[in-house]
Amino acid sequence: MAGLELLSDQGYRLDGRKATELRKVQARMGVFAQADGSAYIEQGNTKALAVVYGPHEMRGSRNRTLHDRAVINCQYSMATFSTAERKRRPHGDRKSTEMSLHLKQTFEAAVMTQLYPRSQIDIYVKVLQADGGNYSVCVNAATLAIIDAGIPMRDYVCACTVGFVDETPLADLCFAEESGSSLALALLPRGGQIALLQMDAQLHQDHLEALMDAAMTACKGVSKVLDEVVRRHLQEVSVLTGE
Amino acid sequence: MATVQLSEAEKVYVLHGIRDDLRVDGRSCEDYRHMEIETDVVSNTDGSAKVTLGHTAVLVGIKAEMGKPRPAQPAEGYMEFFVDCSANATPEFEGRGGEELGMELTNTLYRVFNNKRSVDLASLCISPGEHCWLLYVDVLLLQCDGNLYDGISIAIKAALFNTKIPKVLITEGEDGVTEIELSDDPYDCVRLSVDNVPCIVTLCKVGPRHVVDATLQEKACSVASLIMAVTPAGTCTCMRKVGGGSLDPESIFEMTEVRGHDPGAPPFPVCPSFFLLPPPVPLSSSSPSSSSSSPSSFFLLPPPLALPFLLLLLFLSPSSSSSSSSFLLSFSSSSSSLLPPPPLALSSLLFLSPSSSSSSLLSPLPLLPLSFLLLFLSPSSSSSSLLPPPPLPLSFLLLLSRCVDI
Amino acid sequence: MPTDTKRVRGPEVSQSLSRFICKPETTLPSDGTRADGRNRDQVDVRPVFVRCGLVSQAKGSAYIEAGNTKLICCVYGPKETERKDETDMKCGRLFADMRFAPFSCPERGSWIQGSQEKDLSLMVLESLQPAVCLHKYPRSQIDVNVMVLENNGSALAHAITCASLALADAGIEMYDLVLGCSIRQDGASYLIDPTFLEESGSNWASGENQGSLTVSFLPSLNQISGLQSDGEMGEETLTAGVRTCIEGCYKLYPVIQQALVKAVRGAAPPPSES
Repeated sequence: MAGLELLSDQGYRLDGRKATELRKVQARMGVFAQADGSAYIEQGNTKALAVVYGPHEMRGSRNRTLHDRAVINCQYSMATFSTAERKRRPHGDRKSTEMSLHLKQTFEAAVMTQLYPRSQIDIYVKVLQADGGNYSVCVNAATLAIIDAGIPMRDYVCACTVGFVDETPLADLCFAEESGSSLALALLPRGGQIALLQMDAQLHQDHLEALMDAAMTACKGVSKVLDEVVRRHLQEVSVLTGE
Repeated sequence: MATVQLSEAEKVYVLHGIRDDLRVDGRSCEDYRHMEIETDVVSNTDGSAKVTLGHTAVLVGIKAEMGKPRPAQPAEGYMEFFVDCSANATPEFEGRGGEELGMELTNTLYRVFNNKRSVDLASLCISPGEHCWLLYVDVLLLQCDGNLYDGISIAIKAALFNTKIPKVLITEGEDGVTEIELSDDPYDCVRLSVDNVPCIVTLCKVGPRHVVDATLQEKACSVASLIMAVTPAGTCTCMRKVGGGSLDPESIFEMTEVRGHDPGAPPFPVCPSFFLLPPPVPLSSSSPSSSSSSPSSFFLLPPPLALPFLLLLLFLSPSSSSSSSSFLLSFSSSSSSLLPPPPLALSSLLFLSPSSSSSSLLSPLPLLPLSFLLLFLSPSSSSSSLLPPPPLPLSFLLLLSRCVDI
Repeated sequence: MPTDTKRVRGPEVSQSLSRFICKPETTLPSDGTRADGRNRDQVDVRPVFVRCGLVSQAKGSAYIEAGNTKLICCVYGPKETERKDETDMKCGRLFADMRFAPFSCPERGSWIQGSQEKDLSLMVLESLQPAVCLHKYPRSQIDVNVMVLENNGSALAHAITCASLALADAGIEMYDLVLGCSIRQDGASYLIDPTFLEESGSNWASGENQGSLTVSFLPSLNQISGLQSDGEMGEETLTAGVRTCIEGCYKLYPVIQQALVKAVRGAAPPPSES
């Protein structure tokens, strides 16, 4: 973006954050009563809604059933008004299909699917407002939704998108910053295991290490926030049900 | 439509109840479920609204773009509708499953707005034959529990009310090239008048009686239903029968009469909005006192139509950025099945009484922190928890819309 | 709308000539007779020509002509249903499809079914469904295809009539015939069975009570199976309009019945000598 400095001399970004600062995360679980699990998350201006149905019997083609574990079925879609320019098709285009596949791979690594053979878990994520880091926000939302549904996971799946500007890694990119290089990382924080790593930009090999470290730190930060959200939600639920 | 399967015994139970004017959740045949309306929830759009009617949740976003007017009507802008039945609502809508229902809803919306008086399309024209405003109205179904038409029409009305179209200046440059300038000031915008925008009322025929605001269960027991789009003036812009059964002409006439007294049409001319966000200045740390008396007083509000309204507020706040308008937000404790209520908080509001008709109600208050008590005393049994201990019992601002006159 | 890759199409930016012709005053004359000699405010439906059994490959077919509106309908079935859900076990399914031939309207339409056609198909389906005894055809489906050859107003109403006639011709069991009638409300007076010019939306003057209404009716059972209105009308006008449409259907009923009897007689074998 001509004329806009992504990182100023004093170390401030476009929205006033420092290089390693995450956007403000606000999340709620259990927003929809009809779904088995649901969550809504806002990271800065990016808003995403995740809904989980399952585990339930395999719908549709029975021959895709796996005899020893559950099938995870994801759909990623964006609301038509979510982007600055109106999107014509909410889902079904190539980008959405690719994102759905990424989500599926991510959660297949984290969810303990061998506890539910011959069944299906549906994860539907909808981006209501897109302002950078769509994939990461969706992963975070889906994690919360799966926890809300009571499906056991190995660990939280936390994701963050990082970029590289002026020799400095920037954590949690917004839309304007995403036009440069961006790397999306989905992490299981406790063990430091990577569920998904994706980057499509030109980056010098020397910088990769620094970028990965920044990403992991950012993800761990996100995991703290998500953990707090989950604990708070549990507290509220237990208060309401009365113990 | 997303349907539930009911056994014969359940159907008989529902039928008998309705025959005695008692529905499964305790409402009478002509009561609506608890409704919440919120505007300005998505900042990328020019206008947006979210409506929750019981378990049905609908989100509408309106984007205004410039384009060429239709050749047949060169001096008018136009509206394009699109209904997206997302998989969030039910797994059946995954992939292309929701397309059929989406198409049906879209076609009905086109028909409802297909008259000259609902929306003033001439005001959307910039230069005849060359430029006009196109309003893309995108409806997103988040949760589906029956009565989609009503929820969608209310959300569209609220979103249209909330829409701000920037003012455009057309100048003739050299060589006859027209230049279009958008004014930079975010407040220099055109608002649409939603006085005549119709609201849809759905009446389902279950057994010998008809019910308003049917849930999915009741719909499974019904033979057919009648959809009517009613304007505040009392005229009907679209009437349709849906469903695979047939209706007696007499029952249709009866239903149109009921519609005359129905809450559907007028209540939302002034768009309500309330915000669920804790404000930049957190005053909420003070101990929440439970104002037990207030609920009842609050509840008196509802128009005699038994529509529990919460807070209807007009909000225009420059200070709070788009983040303030995010919905579903709250740190509040309520994790009830209903959509997020209200916040513990207070928000500071700046009232700008807009040019719309509601100005009579509000005295423009400066930035006062006010607390809103958002009460969910819905008649239905679904709300288990009340609102989070309401904060300071400050003044309630109740915006009574015109509906109260009805 | 999906693009059509199978046909060679004309240029994208072609426009119809009619847009450039200087048109005379397009609003309806507000008094006296209509263009084709019928009267306002009277239940004066156009005379109808009906024949059954035209298409030999189809199980049942019907052709209807009302003024210049010409429609043909074919019925295929009952045949085994392709989708096997639980709901098919108890009763059959009805599929209705209504299409406009591209040359049917004054402005050329497209071969691909647009959203308006889908909407009309849904309306035809909803109108026919109460009349057909679907419980007698479990696990089967019945396809109804309506094609509008020339559209000079009231296409939907006549499509419903034609479709129910074709169903009867196909021998599908029904509770009653379904007849359609439409009406155009223009201020204080109404025009029954409007022509294309009378019906088209751009002619709507901005006054009170401008709209159109289509009703499909089962005459012997006195049930309304389909109702659709457009435009803005008051409640009493709507109720009066529905009553008028019902009257129009009653007027049409004997003609349709006769046509059906004739078709059955023609198809029945000659009585045996013994």
